[in-house]
Amino acid sequence: MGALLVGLVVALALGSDGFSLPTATDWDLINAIRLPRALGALLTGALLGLAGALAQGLFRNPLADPYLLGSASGATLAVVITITLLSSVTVESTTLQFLVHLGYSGAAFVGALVGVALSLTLARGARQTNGLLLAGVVVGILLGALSNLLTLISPEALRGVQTFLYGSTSWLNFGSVTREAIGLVAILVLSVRYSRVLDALVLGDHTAMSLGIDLKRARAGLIVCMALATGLAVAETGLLAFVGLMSPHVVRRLVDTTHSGILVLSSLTGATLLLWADSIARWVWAPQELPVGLFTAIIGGGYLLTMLTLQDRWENH
Amino acid sequence: MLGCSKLSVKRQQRVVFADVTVDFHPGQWTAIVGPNGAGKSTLLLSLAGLLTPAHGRVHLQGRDLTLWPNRERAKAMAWMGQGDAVSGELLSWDVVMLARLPTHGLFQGPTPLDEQAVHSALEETEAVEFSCRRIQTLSGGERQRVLLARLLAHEAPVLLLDEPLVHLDPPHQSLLIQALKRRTAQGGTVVTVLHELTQALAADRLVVLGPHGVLGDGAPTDPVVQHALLDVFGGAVSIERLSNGRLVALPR
Repeated sequence: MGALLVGLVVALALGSDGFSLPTATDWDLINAIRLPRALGALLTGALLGLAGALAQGLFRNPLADPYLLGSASGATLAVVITITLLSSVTVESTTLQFLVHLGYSGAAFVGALVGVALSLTLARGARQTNGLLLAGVVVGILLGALSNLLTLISPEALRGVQTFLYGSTSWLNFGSVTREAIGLVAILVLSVRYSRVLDALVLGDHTAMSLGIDLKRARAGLIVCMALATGLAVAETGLLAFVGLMSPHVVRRLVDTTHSGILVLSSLTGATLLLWADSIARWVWAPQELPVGLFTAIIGGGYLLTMLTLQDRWENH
Repeated sequence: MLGCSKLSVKRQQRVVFADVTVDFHPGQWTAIVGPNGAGKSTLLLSLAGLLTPAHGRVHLQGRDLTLWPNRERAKAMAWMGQGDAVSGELLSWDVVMLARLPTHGLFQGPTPLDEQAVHSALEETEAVEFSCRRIQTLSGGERQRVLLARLLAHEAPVLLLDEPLVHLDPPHQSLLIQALKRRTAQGGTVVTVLHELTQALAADRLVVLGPHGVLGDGAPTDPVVQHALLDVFGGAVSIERLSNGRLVALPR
């Protein structure tokens, strides 16, 4: 919590020319640009942390992340299509124009959900987690190949897609903050309410069912929560590596708690993580800005590497 | 109480067993024995309502099991599988508390009554000292005691246990058997799948499951049942009576 608040202050005080005490014009700047951006980074991090905790609980796999099940590739493809359509003049199909109308973030959101829906259809529902993971991989590969093909055909899409793939917090505005805040609260409340299902899954599918849980429906509901959280985050900031993977990991290492606690704390950790990563990305090479996705990747990669080397010591915790 | 009639189950396109009819009674501890692959665990899963049978039906308290609402079924019957799949960071206390889910529901917090049930179940399997440890840090036997406490904390009238004695040292094996016998003395129905024949011979009733369904069913002292048991293992075991009247099975 402390790190989160300090991070917020730093993010607000940090201008393109370094730290400075706010003057009158700065306050306008803070309100108009830095505040929505900092809040947006915070909320995106929280959404990704939450989605990651849901994914790891649902798939009983500490390496699961929110971009599983085709949401990342679905969002990417939708963005590529939108960029291609915007740059070409002749758009005839009404369904495709719908994507253009939605804009990049709307398209990314729809794409992420379509990706997950495809994986669910391919795996014929959420009954078998392994089958579902496999379907997610297949959907990821196929949609990824389609995106690559499109960027080959229309090279102008390449640049736009690149910023999307690195992830960026610079598109965030008060509209996105509102959307994310509403989404986060709704999804958090819903998934915490159903968090005992994730606790029961620790004992395996059969035991969870023997406890009277309608596993098929509960799992499908939690997957929808995960897909919505991921879709919202992806729509506003593009793909941000490792935030969703790392946050629940850190929480589970440090705190003894059931999944309701893991979900809430992972959101907080994700928020803190992304806020700091964003501030660092703005500060390191100021006034130039680095894509924040690079920093989350570096932090996350470093974290995993440390985990690997310290594994023996951790294992007996 | 609990039973199945003409039950056939297929798993991965293979018929595991066909036409099994058997009933389990209150106040009785039944041990299901048989060779590997005879479908003992599958039978227990079907009885627990966790597998959809290809043919036949399972009934609980005279009512078809498929007609039971999930939560009501979970209150009436507790099932425990082989605990190898258990992974994760939950504390033992929270694992045992899961047993109270059917009672207090998904959305309500545990009551003092639930906490009491969890505590006394942990005491019964001598696992109180692990309550605040993560389940993944426990040894095989310690974890098994926590999982058994989870089953007992249900306080369900029907208990189904798949290989409950695995990983347990002899003192804790007899501790569990006493706990199960206390349940049957209070009118509970206990069904266990057991690999160790000597322990199975201590049950009130043996059901011998072979490749072609139930081959023997009755008291362990019944010569017909004993014969079926020797038969199903191809004469690889012998049954001896000790001077104190207990039966033991020895490999030949």
